[in-house]
Amino acid sequence: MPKSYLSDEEKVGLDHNGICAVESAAAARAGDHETEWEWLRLADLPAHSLLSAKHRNGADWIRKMGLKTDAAEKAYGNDWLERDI
Amino acid sequence: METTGSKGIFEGLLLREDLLMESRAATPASRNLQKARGEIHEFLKSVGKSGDIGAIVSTEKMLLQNDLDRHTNSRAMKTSLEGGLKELQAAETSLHLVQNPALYRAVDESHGHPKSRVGPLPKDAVRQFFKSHAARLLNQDKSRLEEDEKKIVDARKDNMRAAERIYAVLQRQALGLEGAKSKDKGMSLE
Repeated sequence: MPKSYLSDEEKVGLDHNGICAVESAAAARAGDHETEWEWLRLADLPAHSLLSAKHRNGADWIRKMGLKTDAAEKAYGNDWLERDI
Repeated sequence: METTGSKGIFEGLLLREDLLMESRAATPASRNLQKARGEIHEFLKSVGKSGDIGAIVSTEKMLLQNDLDRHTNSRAMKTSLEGGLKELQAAETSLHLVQNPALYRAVDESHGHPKSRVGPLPKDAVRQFFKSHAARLLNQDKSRLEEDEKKIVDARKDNMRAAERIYAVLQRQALGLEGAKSKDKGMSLE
């Protein structure tokens, strides 16, 4: 698990993606960008978020950042980074 | 690398917003809110189908008042909603005139300017409200609302258009114009 900046109480009621988001935010606020992105890499990003991130930054960026792309592969096909969608 | 530049920082912010929206959507409260909005949507559709122009107007009045009281979060929004409510009240006041051919002839005659007419019919306060309010709702349709909220906006816009069509029929009847046969079930003004 990446380094945690939050207490258990601060994460009560949050699901996996919620925890990844708030831990990532706390790391970013602490200036620890490495941990910020480690938490984002653990998140199950929804397909539409991944597709939009690809539109914003390009396919190479998605590959380089190592984000979890399962949802996008399921929604758009395994070649979603190679194809224009 | 890309994680520390201003683009990387902003990308992190956008992804976290998406993740938290996704988390929130999965909560029981969010699912029930969606259901509640779905029921509002169904209600609005049934009012639109009723052909009852009075019910369409009074339902829209309740929505406008609720938005003004509960959801106004900018000065521009407040001004727009207050304007809409005022126009609606003006429309409500003159809605009954169309039921009385003698009174409505006076309305007709006071709208002589070509710009104040739609074909053979006067563009009176009621018609103006339906038209400008549909445009106001179309603007809301362009804003960042959630899908279930958009459906409600859409139904309201459809209702304004339905009301305009019903009203045109009533105008034709009042002025004794051809094609005045009503397919609608009439209106309740109170």
